[in-house]
Amino acid sequence: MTKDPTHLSDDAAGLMAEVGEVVAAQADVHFTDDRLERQRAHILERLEHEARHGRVISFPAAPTHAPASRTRPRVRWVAVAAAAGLLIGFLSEHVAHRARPVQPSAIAAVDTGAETLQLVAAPLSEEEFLGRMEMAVEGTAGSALRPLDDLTPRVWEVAAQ
Amino acid sequence: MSRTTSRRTIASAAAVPPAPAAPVVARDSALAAEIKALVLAGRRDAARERFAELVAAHQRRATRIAYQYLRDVHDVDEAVQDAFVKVFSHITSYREELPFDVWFTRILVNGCLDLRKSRSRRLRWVLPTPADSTPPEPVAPQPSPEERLLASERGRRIAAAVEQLPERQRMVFTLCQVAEQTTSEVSQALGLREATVRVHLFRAVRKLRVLLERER
Repeated sequence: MTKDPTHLSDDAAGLMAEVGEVVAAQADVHFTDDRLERQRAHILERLEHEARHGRVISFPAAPTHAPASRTRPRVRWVAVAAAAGLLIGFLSEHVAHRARPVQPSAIAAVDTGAETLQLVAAPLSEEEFLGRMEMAVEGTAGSALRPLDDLTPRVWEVAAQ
Repeated sequence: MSRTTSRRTIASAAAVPPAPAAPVVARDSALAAEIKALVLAGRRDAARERFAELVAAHQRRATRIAYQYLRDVHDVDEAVQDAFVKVFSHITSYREELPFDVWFTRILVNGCLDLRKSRSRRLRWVLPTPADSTPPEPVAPQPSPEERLLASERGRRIAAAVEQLPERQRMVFTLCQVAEQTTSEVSQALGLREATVRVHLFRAVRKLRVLLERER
């Protein structure tokens, strides 16, 4: 017969029982009957609290697609708003582009374009051309350039000399 | 080895009277099965009432086990509460063929280990509080038998000897000697082989004998 390693003599068994009592007393000295009573009350409170919370969740009885339908209109609304914004932006840009007032310089360019064609057809003399240029410059240039203009010798004056 | 034989062997080794233990275990397992049936039937209030009986039956044993792991009254309180709450939340997964106390002990031990891990993580960043800041229980006019035992010279020596045991040996010893579990049950609760549990128990007993008989 093999010897059981945990088999103890009566003396040793008594000693171990004594050790067991001390180990138990280390916890028992802190956990009195009152404290255990309070602990039990806390445990039952927690269970009751968790049960109350559990009632709020109606899974799996509730239809699973209900929350999805609640969020979907919001998503759809945002998508529609974004598309509408894009369309409005595009249209307003288009309208603004068409309604933009034509620059006077552009009209002049068109008008002078006809004259340019005319000039090509019937070329002006050099003096006449420069005179027209001078008139055009005088018409569009600001008064700030007038002193500079006064200092500049005229072409026909130079040609006459 | 059968469960009864195993219990008898340890009981004789630990000098624990085996007679009352077995019926209590069987009754608790039956009670747990009854609570499970009530929960499955949707009668949670009735299940909670019955569960209070189970808590009362295992509470003291649970605090003794948890105290050996945690050594802090607040942590012990928290671990025991959590273990009972977890048991009730998972009662539907309880298998009737297993003893309830083994299942419960396993949940409790795992909870204690988790709590200890989180405590050590917490202490890495926060200054440690004094060893035990528990407000003392109202002072009784007479010291309790436990206080008298711990205050005695013999009690102090035994407590010091238990402190010198490696943790695994101390836990196996506590579960066998204090929680009155067989080596088979301890092996299931701790997730160890039964042979390993027996070796730890043997070494714990031998060391305690050496330490304490030297002082006799």
